[in-house]
Amino acid sequence: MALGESFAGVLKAARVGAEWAWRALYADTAPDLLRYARASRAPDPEDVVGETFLRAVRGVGSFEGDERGFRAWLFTLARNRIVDEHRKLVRRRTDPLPVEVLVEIGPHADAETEAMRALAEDRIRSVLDRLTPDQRDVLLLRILGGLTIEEVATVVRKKQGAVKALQARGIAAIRDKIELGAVTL
Amino acid sequence: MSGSIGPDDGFERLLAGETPKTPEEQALGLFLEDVRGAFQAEPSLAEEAHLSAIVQAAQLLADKGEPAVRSASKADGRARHASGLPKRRRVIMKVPLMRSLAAKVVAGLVVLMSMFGGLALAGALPGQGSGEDESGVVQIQDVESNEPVETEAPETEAPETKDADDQGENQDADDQAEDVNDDQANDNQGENEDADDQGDDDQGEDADDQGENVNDDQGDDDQGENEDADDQGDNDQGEQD
Repeated sequence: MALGESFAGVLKAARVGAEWAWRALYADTAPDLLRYARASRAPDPEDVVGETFLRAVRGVGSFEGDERGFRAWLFTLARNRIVDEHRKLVRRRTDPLPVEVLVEIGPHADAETEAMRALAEDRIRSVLDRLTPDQRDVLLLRILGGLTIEEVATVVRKKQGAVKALQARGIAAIRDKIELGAVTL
Repeated sequence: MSGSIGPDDGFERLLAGETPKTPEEQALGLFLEDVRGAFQAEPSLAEEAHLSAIVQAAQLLADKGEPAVRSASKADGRARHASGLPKRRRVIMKVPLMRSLAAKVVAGLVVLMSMFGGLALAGALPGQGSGEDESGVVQIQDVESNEPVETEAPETEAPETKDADDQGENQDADDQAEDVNDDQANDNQGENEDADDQGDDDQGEDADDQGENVNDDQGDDDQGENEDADDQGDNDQGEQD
């Protein structure tokens, strides 16, 4: 939401291929898309972000809406891409990458920070794995994407009532898990 | 609270950035912070690569011929292949004709209809020849026994008996045949008598008998002359003696 009132001008400039406009849109949305892709266990979260913006480039001419609508549209493209990646992952066999490539694309922070983040991620995943895929998708779009109930309903192609029900059941499952002490808070 | 279905007010307040009011909301708020902290979006090495690809694609789509992205070649377009564009090949998928049950049923009906149709044309159906046989029967009386003998009409005349007029003609023909037979019988009655006589004569088959018959005939003719005959006989006897 950093663009605010300037979103209309940025979108107009992006339609004609202005580099600054696309940099602004990328800086505003890409971090949230990347976090959502990682939380959704996408095989290559950064590739999901890149493909999402390339699809946005091809379809920006026909897009109509405000900044929140553009954000929800980008999350829709990202979610479709993640679903496709999961389907491909089921169908095809993956080949392990060489060690040199893993070192190059791997984490660049210090080991302690990476270890702490890995532990926190494991704890969160242990809670999220208890949810159904739809519940997890709704909660991640709301927490990491910052989308409203209506926008999430548009992204996941469900009715608002169904999204509310999925959210309530997901929160209830998380609370049960928290009460059992599975999550160290 | 845990089993209720509907928008959670505490969850909405936490997402809006408000401070938690209850211990439950506080625990849930801590969980949300952990989620946001666990999946951080640190600067990616692929960011510049993404941006360059995005900008290049956007300029290509927006301008379609911008000098910055236009090809360096002065050629108007791609060189045409000698063989031209590849021909669109048409692949016909083989589908079995008897794939569906309806096709099998229709095929069976066609076979039955053609079979019975052929039998009907040939007149070989069981109930088809009875009427024609009756109409085709011609009653002819035997000449010798005077008894009507049923003989079948030639097959070539059978189609003519199908018409009602022809049936009447056949009846007339039967009558005529009977009339002819009657006439012939009347005419032949005398001849039959002669034939009977001849048969009687033949039954004798002796020359003597023939002679006797001749004598008888003669005697019949000349009844008044029997006496003379007798006399002659006497005379003959006398002469033979």
